[in-house]
Amino acid sequence: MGIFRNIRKKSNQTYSALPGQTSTHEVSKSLEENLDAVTQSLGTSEDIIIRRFHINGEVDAAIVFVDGLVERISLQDFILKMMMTERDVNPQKDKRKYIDYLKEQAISIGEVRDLPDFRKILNFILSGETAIFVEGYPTGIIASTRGWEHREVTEPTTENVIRGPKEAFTENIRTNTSLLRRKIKDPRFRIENKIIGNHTNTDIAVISIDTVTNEKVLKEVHERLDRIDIDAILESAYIEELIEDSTSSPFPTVFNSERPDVVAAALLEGRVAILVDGTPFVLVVPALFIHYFQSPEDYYERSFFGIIRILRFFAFLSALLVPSIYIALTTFHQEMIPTALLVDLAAQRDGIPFPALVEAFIMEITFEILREAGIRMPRAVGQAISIVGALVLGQAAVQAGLVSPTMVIVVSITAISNFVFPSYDMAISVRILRFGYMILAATFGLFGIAVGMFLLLLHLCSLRSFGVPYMSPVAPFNLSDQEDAIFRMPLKFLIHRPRLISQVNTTRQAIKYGKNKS
Amino acid sequence: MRQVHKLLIFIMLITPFLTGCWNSRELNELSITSALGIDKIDDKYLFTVQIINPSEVAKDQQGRRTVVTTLNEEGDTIFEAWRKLTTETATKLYFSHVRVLIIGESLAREGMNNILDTILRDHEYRSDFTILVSKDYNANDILSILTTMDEIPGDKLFKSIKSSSTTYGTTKDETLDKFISEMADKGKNPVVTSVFIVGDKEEGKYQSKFDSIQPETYLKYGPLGAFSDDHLIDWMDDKESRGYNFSQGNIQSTLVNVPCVDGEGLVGVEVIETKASITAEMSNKQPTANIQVSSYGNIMDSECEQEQAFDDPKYIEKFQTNMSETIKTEIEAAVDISQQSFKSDILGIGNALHRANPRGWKKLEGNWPEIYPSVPISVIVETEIHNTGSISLSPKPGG
Repeated sequence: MGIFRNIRKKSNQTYSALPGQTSTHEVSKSLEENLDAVTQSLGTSEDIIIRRFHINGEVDAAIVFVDGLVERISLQDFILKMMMTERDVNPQKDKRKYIDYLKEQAISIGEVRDLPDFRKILNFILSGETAIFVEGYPTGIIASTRGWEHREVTEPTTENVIRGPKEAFTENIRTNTSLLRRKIKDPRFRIENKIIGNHTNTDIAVISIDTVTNEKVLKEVHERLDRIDIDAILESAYIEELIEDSTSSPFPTVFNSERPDVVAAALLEGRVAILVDGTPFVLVVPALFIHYFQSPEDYYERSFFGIIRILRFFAFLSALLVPSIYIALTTFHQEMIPTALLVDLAAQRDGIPFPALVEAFIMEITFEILREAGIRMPRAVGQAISIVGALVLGQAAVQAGLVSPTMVIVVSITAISNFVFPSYDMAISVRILRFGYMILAATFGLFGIAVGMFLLLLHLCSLRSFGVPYMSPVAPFNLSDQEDAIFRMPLKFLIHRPRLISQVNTTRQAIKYGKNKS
Repeated sequence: MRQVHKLLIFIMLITPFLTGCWNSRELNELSITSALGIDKIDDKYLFTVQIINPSEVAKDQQGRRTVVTTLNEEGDTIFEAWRKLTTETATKLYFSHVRVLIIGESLAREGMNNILDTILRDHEYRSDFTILVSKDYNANDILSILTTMDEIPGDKLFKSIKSSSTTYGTTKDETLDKFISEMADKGKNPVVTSVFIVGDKEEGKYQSKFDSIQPETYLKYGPLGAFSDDHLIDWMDDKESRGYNFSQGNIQSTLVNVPCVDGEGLVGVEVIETKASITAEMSNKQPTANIQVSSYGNIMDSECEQEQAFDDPKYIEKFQTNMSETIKTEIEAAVDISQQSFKSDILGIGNALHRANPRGWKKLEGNWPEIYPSVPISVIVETEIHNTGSISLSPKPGG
């Protein structure tokens, strides 16, 4: 690990010495100097537009913006038109006043400020704002004209529900924060902005609810975010990897979702959300093991069906263990199989050239390949893939004598179970661990599986996510949190927020029905 | 702490490698044995195995091969015969799925102690299969008969003893572990069901017998055989067998033919539940025993000549007494034959005495076989009719 740390340090030094940002950081009085500095820093890219004009026919001025990132209409109507009309103000007389006048009266745009820092102005230009330089004033006016092509709010593509909101986050961080604000209209709702990435200057928003969020977790999130010094943040996964507790663990310790309702619910539990510009996937910390088994629908359908969560835990186990148990039983513990079934299995294996492990590996890997191909193939060839897939994993493989019919069923059960839990992250962990268990089963039988499960449990219990034990509220056990852990109790019993997550304000609703547990 | 953790994980990781248990076998490398037979012929053991041909069982259409193959080999010890069998089989025999063990009658009469040793010693055997004794035939002959209803004879024998012992009551599902614990027990001797061949045993070996709707050769369970310690003494008849099962509370369901209260004829009663308890005590230094059985039944079949008033409580009372008498005769028959002709405590009177009076039993324990025949045993039966069926009076022609 030490070696990596050193390498990271070295490369960090190279990032900070960026060309174009070496010159003075102050805006000059001379318009020409300022414009020169702009062209010097930003180069002569075609999309950087510098428009010179005169105010009142006497004062030279120029606006700088990036074509495509600004909203042309507001630029046209509210900046250029307003500034180029004749005004009854003498700029020569009262210098300070004139720039204030521009800000306060001439530019009819929502957000305007003036900045003396040239570097910051450059950043704003690159984020889609328009900078106005006026001859003789050592300051630049930033007018908010952001507006670029972006995707509308659409239905979620990865987390579907039957009942519940059908909106998903988009790539635009402003839209995303607005989606959350619309759900939580609370004065205590807090958004803190950060910019991370030396090249990408990506906007990051840390969202919390004052008095509900655990301050320690919030502080830890900020600390970890501030520690990041990287050239680019292209997706929230970058942030996730840089702030997660254990990178070497197969289990995710940072939750992500593209559903505003899921993130809002997490915020109301006292968790912290991290929004990254450019991706619809919002990070949520701390993330516990059970969070990956909770679907928003658990709360939208009637509580009785909260039992379905058990099905997901069962699916977790079967996705993890079905092939390995099959291997263990058929190669070591034949006495555990009922005689009729054993005879059937033996008949199916008649003439199969591979041992059960190899057979299982062939099928599992084939399935993984198909799955990967299914995600990445162009839409047009989708049908071809499904036809070929059905052949490889189906009757044809059996008839060719390569695999036994039972193995096809085993692989299918595993594959389907793998998609039962709402979180794709957890599905990936299970998918990888499954192969380890298959090898253990083929070498040591059920004993190997038991040892493997033991190790897995030890590992899970040792994990923490932002200071919260990963397996809580099961280990350490917390009785009042059981109301929404393995089952989802009726809403009237969900009185408390998860205790270990929000340690400050743990009561969700006035206690009218049940007994006061605290 | 980190060091300790690493060490712990290392220890856990290496444990699997230290076990030395490395007997993984693929399914198609197994010769699944469904039934075993052991005979003794001229001082040599004849070890018979019935191996399943899985592909024949699972096939949609019947192939030309039989679903099981019976092989046998002789040896001075069972183990020798067993290992000699590998010269005939394709793969190593696999015994975990043995359903029945059939002992030849002559070997059973001689004593089974020695043969049970190897079966207990080998880890592959499970001890929950049924022990049977072949009556009049060698175990080898029994295992050479193909069965029609269930293709695997071992399975057929296993299933049919489960159903006949609970619904008719002349057989007993004596598993190996039960047999061994009773054999070792001084206060109770084991009882094993007999099995024999009906028809020509040569004909039963060929699949051609399946061509007939009414197979001429088949396997059938006979009555129980009483053991004294590890050797067979003699066979009971059907009535005594059922009396024995009544006294042990083994019967879940059977039928009893009870004479009508008025006039000639029989009434068929389905026994739906029986409870039995055997108690014993020492009175005047003499052991006495008491068998108490209570049973409940439904009337299923009335063939009385006179009209029977099943809905009259007085009549039912008399009828219940009749039924109690019928069951009592059967139990007494079992008691009598065990005391007078077998002189073997198959009913477990000794165990009852042991429980009631451990000290008294200690004194008698040594020569219990001599004492048992003279122990006075009283039988009390209580019955209750629960249901008289959908009709109360039998249909009468021209009535």
